[in-house]
Amino acid sequence: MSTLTQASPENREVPARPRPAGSSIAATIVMIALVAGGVWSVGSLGIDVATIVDSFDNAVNFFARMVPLDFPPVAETLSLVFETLAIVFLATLLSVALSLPVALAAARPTRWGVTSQWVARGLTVLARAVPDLVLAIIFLRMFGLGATAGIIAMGIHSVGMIAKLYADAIEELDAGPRESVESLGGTRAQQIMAALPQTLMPQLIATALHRFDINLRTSVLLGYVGVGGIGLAIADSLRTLDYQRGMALAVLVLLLCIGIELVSGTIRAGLMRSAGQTITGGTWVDRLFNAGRESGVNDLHLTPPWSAARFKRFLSVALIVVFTVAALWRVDVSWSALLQGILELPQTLALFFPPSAGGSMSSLFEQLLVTVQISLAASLIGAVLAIPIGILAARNAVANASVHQTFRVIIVIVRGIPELILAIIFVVISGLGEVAGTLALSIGAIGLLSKLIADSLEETDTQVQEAMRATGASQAQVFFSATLRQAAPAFVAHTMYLLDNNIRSATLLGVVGAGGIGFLLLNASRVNQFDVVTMVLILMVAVVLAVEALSVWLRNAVR
Amino acid sequence: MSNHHTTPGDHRAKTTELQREIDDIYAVQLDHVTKDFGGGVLGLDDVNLGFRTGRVTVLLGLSGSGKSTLLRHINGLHAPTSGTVRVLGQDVNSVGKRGLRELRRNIGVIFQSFNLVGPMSVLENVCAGQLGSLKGPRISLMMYPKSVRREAIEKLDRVGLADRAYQRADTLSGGQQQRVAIARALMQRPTVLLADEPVASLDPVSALDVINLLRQIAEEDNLTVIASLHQVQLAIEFADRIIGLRGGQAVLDRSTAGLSAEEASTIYSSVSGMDLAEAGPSPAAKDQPAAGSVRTPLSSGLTR
Repeated sequence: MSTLTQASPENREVPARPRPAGSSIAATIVMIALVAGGVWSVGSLGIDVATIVDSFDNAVNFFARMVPLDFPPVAETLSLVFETLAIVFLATLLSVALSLPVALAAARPTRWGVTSQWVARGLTVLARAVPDLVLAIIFLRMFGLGATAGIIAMGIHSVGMIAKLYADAIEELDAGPRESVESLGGTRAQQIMAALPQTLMPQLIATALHRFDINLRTSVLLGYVGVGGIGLAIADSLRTLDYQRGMALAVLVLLLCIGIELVSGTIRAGLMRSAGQTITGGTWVDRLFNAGRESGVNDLHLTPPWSAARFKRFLSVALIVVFTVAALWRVDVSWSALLQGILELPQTLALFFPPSAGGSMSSLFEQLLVTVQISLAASLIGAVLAIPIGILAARNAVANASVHQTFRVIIVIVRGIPELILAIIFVVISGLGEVAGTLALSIGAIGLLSKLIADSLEETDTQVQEAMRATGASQAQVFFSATLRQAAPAFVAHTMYLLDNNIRSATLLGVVGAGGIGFLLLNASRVNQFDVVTMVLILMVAVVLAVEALSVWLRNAVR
Repeated sequence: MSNHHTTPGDHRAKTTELQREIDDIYAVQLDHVTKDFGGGVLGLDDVNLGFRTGRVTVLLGLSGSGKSTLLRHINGLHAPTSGTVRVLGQDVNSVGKRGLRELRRNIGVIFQSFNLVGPMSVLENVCAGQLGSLKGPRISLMMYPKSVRREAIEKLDRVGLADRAYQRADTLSGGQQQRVAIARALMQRPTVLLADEPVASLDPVSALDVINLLRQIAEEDNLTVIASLHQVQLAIEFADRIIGLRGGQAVLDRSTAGLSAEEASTIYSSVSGMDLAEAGPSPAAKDQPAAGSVRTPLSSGLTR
């Protein structure tokens, strides 16, 4: 049939390899450029073996100065933990409340109109791009020192992530139930309320818990600009060079982060399980509370029976109410200051405008470049460290169970350490400056990137590997030809996500003295040069959005 | 075709009185309805049909023949590119947003994928059928008036599932979920019932259950039923009238009364546009029993 089978072997023509598509050439060039940029950054930041050996002495010195750890008295410790948790809880609750209407407006099935959809999407992108630290500086100016500014700052910034995930969840939802309510003459509000909340509830809560974990880490950073809680205590200790107390508090944060992550992970896993639950009822709760109750038309109650699931729902709502009241009581939100701050909004905003370079635009650009260098170098070093660790942690890449389990545990531990704590440690070890920031972000990459890499290796299609094994290929051949080849686009995507993430973190870690434009931001806010804060913010947002756009484009191009 | 239903005729020439009489006879009327989805895709191509009040009609046709599109025009989920759709004496596309909601209250819809809210209790799903007559959104069962909950239990009893009232909807089998969806539609106390492939996601036994239930309810409540189906045998058992659609056009229209098995076997070929004798034994053709040798999985139940 085809000419190939009829032609004799010698005059059979091998079809010419098709020219690669323009986008894939561009993607390759960009990737090479990014790696080259990373190498250049490593060099120009002065990160080399000598620096690392030098700082090793400092490290020994530092550890000698931080032991014995000096924990505050139990009552004070508990009070600090409680305050931090209260701030984070209220911030997350606020962001959920703000995100719900934004997500409804941003999602295609529930939007009010095309304009509202674009406005809502623009708001989420903006909320994500403006760091909570900058928001905190603005709100501290408006509402005074204390928890209120931190709650509102994190509450608004979190909308960027929560509203986006909520909108995605709404769009992925089966349109059927909503359409059925439309068919029976229900209004828009009825369609939304009858079909969405119950179906989405597990996802809504899981997203909020995930954000709670992230906000807990951020709250420590916000301590540096004056928001209360453990972060403020750490900042105060380190300012007075009290490393024994500071590091004790850092350990406390680490434990708190791991503890909260375990709790929220358990709740999230439970939610996912109950989402696919089979028949409810039949537990001892049902038998105890609904004894003698008839089912069917003879059931005269017309109310749902007190099943275990209903108890759980009721208790969850009650707990949220109790937590909210307790948290509000602890942080003691000053409603008059809040009102005052809102009334004085025009005057406050006037302080921030017009943006000004504070005398030297070139020094701003210099520091901005340092920030970009930090994130490029940290992403490169991070990828070099994280890719082997991720491969070793993948079940299907390493046959030896104890090896991949060990590496999984390492990843979990590194993930538990907030990047801020790493940055603080490295600032002490290798001195103020960009080396500390780069090393902190590089280590942080192990937690983020190796997990993603291990996961994407484990998600590869095992049938392809089996097919190759069936041809007699060795373990290594199977890994390179089947497993790695399938996961390669995911590697690129995850590394770009890391860069995207690092550029945000790099701007912020400057606050603790880890170099880059974040340091200028902190200084400007300390000396009340709010017009400079605005200028720094504009530069940061521009760079963050540019890197994000590049990362989104490249992730799509290699898919 | 002896039982060919005449179309309502030219809209412009009608006096209002004549229109009123026609409205009494036909619960649903499609007058020169064309739907252009853009790009030259015609969902419906100049369709003229009248559906008599209290009759059960089945739309037959392959996927993409326009069955769902036609049904979605009747309750205003689609608007025609040209032509008019009259339901219960009202022009669906000129009653306005509020008028359309009021009209939809009288039109129950059954979907192929049931469209229940999975994590919600069966009873709350059924109560949702009343939303069109209630003001404001409801986020829990307890927000429905007691009378509505009472009625919902009765409707559930009617479809034989009252004992499942407080179970999560997604824990029921497909056939049970479709019965819950029917109970939800009954909550509207509809006069017209639309069913878009109501049994396409069900196994043969549940499918027959659901079809029998629909037939029984249609008779008891004197509903005007318009359903789309794939199976010819099921359609003949269920409907008073069969309309075949192909490429958005009504290519077949006949009563099921006195339909011989021989005639039935020609229905599929006229709907699919395939001559069975020429096409040879395709999987689709095998579903069409030759006269006298009815062998579909459903036939045992249907011929009982």
